[in-house]
Amino acid sequence: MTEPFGYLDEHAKKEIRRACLKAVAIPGYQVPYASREMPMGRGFGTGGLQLTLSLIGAGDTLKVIDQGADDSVNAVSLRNFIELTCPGISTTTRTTDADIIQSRHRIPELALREDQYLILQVPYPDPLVIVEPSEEKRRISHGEGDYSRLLVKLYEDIVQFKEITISHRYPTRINNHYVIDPSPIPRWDLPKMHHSKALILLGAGREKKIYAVPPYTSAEPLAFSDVPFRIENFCDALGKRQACENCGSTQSFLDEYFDTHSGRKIYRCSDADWCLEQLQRRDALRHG
Amino acid sequence: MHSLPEIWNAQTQQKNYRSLLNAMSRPGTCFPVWGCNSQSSVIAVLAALLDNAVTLADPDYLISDENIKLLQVRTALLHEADFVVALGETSPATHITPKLGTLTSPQDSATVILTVQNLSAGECELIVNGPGVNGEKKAMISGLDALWLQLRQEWNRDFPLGCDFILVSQQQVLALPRTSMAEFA
Repeated sequence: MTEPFGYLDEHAKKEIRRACLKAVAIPGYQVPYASREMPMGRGFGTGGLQLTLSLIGAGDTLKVIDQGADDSVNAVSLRNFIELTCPGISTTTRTTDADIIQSRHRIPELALREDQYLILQVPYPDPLVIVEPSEEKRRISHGEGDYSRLLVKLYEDIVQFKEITISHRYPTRINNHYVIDPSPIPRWDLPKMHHSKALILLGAGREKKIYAVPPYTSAEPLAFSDVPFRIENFCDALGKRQACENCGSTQSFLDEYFDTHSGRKIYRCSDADWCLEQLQRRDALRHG
Repeated sequence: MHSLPEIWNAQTQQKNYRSLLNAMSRPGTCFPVWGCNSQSSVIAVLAALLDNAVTLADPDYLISDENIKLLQVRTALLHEADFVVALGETSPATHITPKLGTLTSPQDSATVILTVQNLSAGECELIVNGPGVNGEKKAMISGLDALWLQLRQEWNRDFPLGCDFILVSQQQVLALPRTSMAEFA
């Protein structure tokens, strides 16, 4: 017997599809669904994978990234599995060529278009879990849009450290109501969610939740009027913006490395496709 | 061997789901319904979403018994059903409210699917704004009784409670999720 297109049976796909439509209709609300067993461990992106498999069709072009890289173990494994179970699709590493982008920990630097879908793999979907252990109580707080305890947690950070110390999974209010955990993307990526042209779907396989940020919808990080939200800055002690060691870009999120020979701290673009594109652009300018 | 029309094909259902997802993400914009040459487009929409895990109310008897069997869906009363399919051009019963969900489970609400005559070249201008719309979106619709929009506004008054609308013409689909503001010009 042959596997169905997209590995999942049609009943499973329909259930995920119904959950997705409700997730889009109620922006930021975590819709429960019966997350299926996948041939990989939960926590390896099964939530995002199930969203992709229920969405993708023959003729689509898919990009899978893990922390900005197309060639990490997680990205390669997921991409191979989707290629194997979805005959007729194409895969790419170019953001601009992709119809569907499944990602772990990053939103591509290149602004997404209206005809693209971004699917984020989510380990922990509920931002309230750090202040309220009971799911029942959390659901009431979400319904009422009551995030006072979360704001107190942020305030405690300011009292203790003089700033909000959350580096990723920064709680973000969608359409002025539900607050989401936007998956472990850095703060740098949050402004890309705000009024994004592309639909953003988030899937947590282990926690069995799907939620969404529809296009042209507000996505505002929780903050205080006197302590505004700020993204990572990559400036040195003199205030000069660090550049990527490879392409020289000063417009991207950077990963920090230590040069084993010199012991010097160096920076490289986290988004591999962005870095390659900047390099090609630089070469094109140089040669012609 | 008797073969089923294209809308029962998994590939067509995937394409129709994409149209529905696009429609729900971009309220007020029309998207195509695929494979509905020999079948009505509303059946194609239902075939993309329904199975034996959900219930359907059909107060206007739009779906034949044969199609109910093919959909494998259970039928239910209007106020209990997960999906309601009805004629958009006739006035709805004002005394029955579809499922609106609860504060903790707003997804446990009805999706109302209305058949209309035209979604892109009708005589009434529908103005839509809200999440998914860049500013304001206009659609020219015919075959939608204004009372549906009034009731929709009432049902969606207490967000996150509410119900989501899908309008289906002969070959197109347009959605109005509960967050959309929609009114005739």
